[in-house]
Amino acid sequence: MDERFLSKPNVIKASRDFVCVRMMTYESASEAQLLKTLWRPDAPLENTVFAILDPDGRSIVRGGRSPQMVFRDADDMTTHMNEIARYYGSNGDSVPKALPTVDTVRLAVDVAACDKRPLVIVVGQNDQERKQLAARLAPSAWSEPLIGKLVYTTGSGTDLSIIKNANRSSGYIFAAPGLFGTDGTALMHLSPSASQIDLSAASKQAIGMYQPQVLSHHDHVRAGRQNGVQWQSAIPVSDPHDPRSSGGAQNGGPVVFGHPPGPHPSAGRLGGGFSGGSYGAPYGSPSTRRQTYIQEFR
Amino acid sequence: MRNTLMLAVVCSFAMIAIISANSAFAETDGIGWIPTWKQAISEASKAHKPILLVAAAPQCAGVSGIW
Repeated sequence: MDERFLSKPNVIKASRDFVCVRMMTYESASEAQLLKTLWRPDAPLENTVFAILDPDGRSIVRGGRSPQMVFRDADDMTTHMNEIARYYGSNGDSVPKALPTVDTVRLAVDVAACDKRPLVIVVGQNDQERKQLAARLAPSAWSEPLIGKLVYTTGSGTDLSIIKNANRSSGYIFAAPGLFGTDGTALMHLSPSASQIDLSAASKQAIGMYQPQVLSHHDHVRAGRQNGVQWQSAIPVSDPHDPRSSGGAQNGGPVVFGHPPGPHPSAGRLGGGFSGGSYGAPYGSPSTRRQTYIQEFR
Repeated sequence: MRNTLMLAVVCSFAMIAIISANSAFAETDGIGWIPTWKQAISEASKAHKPILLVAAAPQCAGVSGIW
């Protein structure tokens, strides 16, 4: 993640006028297909991709590996984001209604570890219960004091084997991810009847309780190797800079974490507007400003 | 005199604690990421908002827990 851009206060402020999506590369075949259309479609998919799209998912700003490839600095990025938001009449008034959930508990624990954020697991015995519980948590997740500060997922009691002290078959579990995102520890449990006020209070408490261990990038990777950590992604890693891309990403190791064998739960779930070749196609709009963006960044 | 001094020290520590807590919260402001394309495109269509998209692998050289 490019902290020089995405953690800057002016970029964060500008992001409120956008729908912000951060996909996990190599964790969904269908999302990988989309990502490939956004930057260098003929080349292997690299670890990171950056793009700005219109509300229908068409490219406005030429994609790249990171914001640094597209903008001079965070101020330049903010200026362009604000112009794009004005063009679409986006003023940040509307916030999403749905809880932003990572597909699986296993992947969410890893994402929480990457972000150094606590995790909330909505546990229900069936889809209907999980949806109801998630809907109650969503306003808290999108409230300005808490936005972007926790990672969310849903699951059933059987998905909790990697969370120590998790003992709920339904309700909310606030958890701290382990250093390598392969396990976690429950910090708090809330019952399925918890109110929105309870959930907001517990979220703030979890943020205060979680003290992540922070290592340098180099030390983290070295410690992971020493501990036999080997993350198995849903699809093979193809980044040419990754030593595993030539030998195959799924080459295994002493301890394998990540996607279990078999179809990924998100396989084929990209029904919402993705139709392969339509992405990244130039606009046919007569809008001068939009054309300016295309000319400047393509 | 001694009691006054003690009270001043206690108040100072309390103020520092409050300021630290607030600034720690402010410093952790973040972008509200939606983690899947399906959720994001649905939200963008409904709200007619442009999309800021990033993708990153939640592992480095096979070691998880780091972008």
